[in-house]
Amino acid sequence: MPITLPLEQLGSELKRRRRERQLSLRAVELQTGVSPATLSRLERGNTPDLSVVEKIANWLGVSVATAGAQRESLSSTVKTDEDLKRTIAVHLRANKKLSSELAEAIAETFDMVVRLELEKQKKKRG
Amino acid sequence: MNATGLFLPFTPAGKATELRAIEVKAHLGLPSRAIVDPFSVLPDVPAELRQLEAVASAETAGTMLARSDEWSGYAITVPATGEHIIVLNPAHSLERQRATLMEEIVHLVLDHPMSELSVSDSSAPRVNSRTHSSEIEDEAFCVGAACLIPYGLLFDAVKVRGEEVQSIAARFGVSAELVRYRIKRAGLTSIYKRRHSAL
Repeated sequence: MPITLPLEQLGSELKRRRRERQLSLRAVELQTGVSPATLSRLERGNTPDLSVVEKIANWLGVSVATAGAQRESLSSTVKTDEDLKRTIAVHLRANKKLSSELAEAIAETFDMVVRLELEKQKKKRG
Repeated sequence: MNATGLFLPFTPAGKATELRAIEVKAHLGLPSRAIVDPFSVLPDVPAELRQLEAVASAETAGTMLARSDEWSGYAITVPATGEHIIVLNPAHSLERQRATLMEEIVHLVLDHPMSELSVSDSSAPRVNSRTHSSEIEDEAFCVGAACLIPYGLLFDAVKVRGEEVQSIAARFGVSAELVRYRIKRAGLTSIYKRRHSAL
């Protein structure tokens, strides 16, 4: 009988098992069909779609208690680009005293990346 | 060599750094003694490297290149998709870009909290601010250096082969400055100085 894991432990168990076997995210993708980006989000504690839960549970050889699991995709739980428009989260290797011109330039590149990604998503949806 | 079979630095700080680097390599599916090539492991982070001209208008890119001495690189997360995008300063040498990229990868893999860059919308005198944690930045750079030059290989180069900094730098594809930093942080300065006049 397989072990039953609470949904909230699925990500940490995935991470533990993957590191134990020294498998990269790409290697797990080949075995599960789940993208590295989704696997990484799951390991960080984000709640995936139920289809992803099933695939990962099968790979781990466990069953998962999914009471109350959400069917919405990850993007609905993330702040929109409007919320973050002028305060940008960034890992930045730069001088501690950043000039205003450079700060604004980096913010503009962030805006452009967000815009391009939104256009890409719209095209995908058709 | 300890009970786990790992060859670790003798100092507590050096040991802690090496263990963090091994943790990063485990996430990337690499063995503990591996030399990380940051460019090839991006899909395993996962993150995407984008050229500056792909994320900036000509004017913005010009501003950033004119202020090239102020920045090395940055990583952002696209809110709608959670995807990580990394941009490196194209004016920097390949060796320096490699170190910056490795540092950004460490930030992402270790899930460091991001800094907040606040940019004023007002056309009046602009007040921009940025949160900054020296501790987090130090860990990312230090662990990144350990991923690029694993301790066992550095020890071999310094103690066994008696290599000079420039030779080690060329072999690992990093700057001489990074090698000196790594030797100091790994606690190998005195060993290096026994064979060479200065670090």
